[in-house]
Amino acid sequence: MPADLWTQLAEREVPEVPERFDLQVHQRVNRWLLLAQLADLALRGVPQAMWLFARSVFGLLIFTLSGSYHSKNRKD
Amino acid sequence: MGGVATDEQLAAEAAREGSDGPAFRELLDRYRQRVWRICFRLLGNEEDASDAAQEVFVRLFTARAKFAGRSKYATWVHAMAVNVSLTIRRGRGRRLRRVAPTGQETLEQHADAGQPAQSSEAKSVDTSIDLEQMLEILSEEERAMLIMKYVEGHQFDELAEMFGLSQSACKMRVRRACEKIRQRFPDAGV
Repeated sequence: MPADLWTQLAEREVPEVPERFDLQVHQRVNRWLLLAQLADLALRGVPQAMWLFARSVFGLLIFTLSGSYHSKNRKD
Repeated sequence: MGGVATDEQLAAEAAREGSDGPAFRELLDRYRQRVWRICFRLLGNEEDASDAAQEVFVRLFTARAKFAGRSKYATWVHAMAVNVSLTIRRGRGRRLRRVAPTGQETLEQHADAGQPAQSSEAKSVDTSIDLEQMLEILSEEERAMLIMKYVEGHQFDELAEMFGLSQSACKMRVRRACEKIRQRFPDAGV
């Protein structure tokens, strides 16, 4: 291909980067971070909290029914 | 960090940052212009180019921990810019991509009508537009490869990394693409 054709295409004016470009990137990144953190909360934080809560309720039920508190850490 | 940090050092630093911190912003400063130029050349209009360039930086951010340093960071960024631009082009359809020049005869129209190409004066004015129209006959990948090679000035080893091909495959595709243009526009002096 003749180099001058490509040179002319290369010299074709490319407009300036839009003024608010950095801000828009920042907003998009923030949106992504928010979604990622919400997903993390929904998939890991909430199940973990529910598991801890369920264990406590289970322990309370056992104590109510048996009158003794069962714990793996108990030394008796 | 003492002195001017390399792109690779900044990328490693950005991978440790929880959000778009100083290292990522420095990378954004360094690559903003280059990414914008590639996206604009591949997409042909500001709206799509802006969308693509923003998407490139978001992907650079989300994949910042995945940069393994096997290639230059610049090549990795350029590859991402090419991929995002190609995805957007494929998604939006060719007709919407470029504002068609009005009132200008194209070399393709001449070629279809079997007429000689435009006069030399008109030709020089419209060459860049015509060349872009010539590129439209190529596949998306061939077009991107020619632009990255001849307009952006990348070497074949960089093209190979960007397009995930071997160097010889890149050379062959570039040669075939040039041949396609020559066959379709024999009077264009290409």
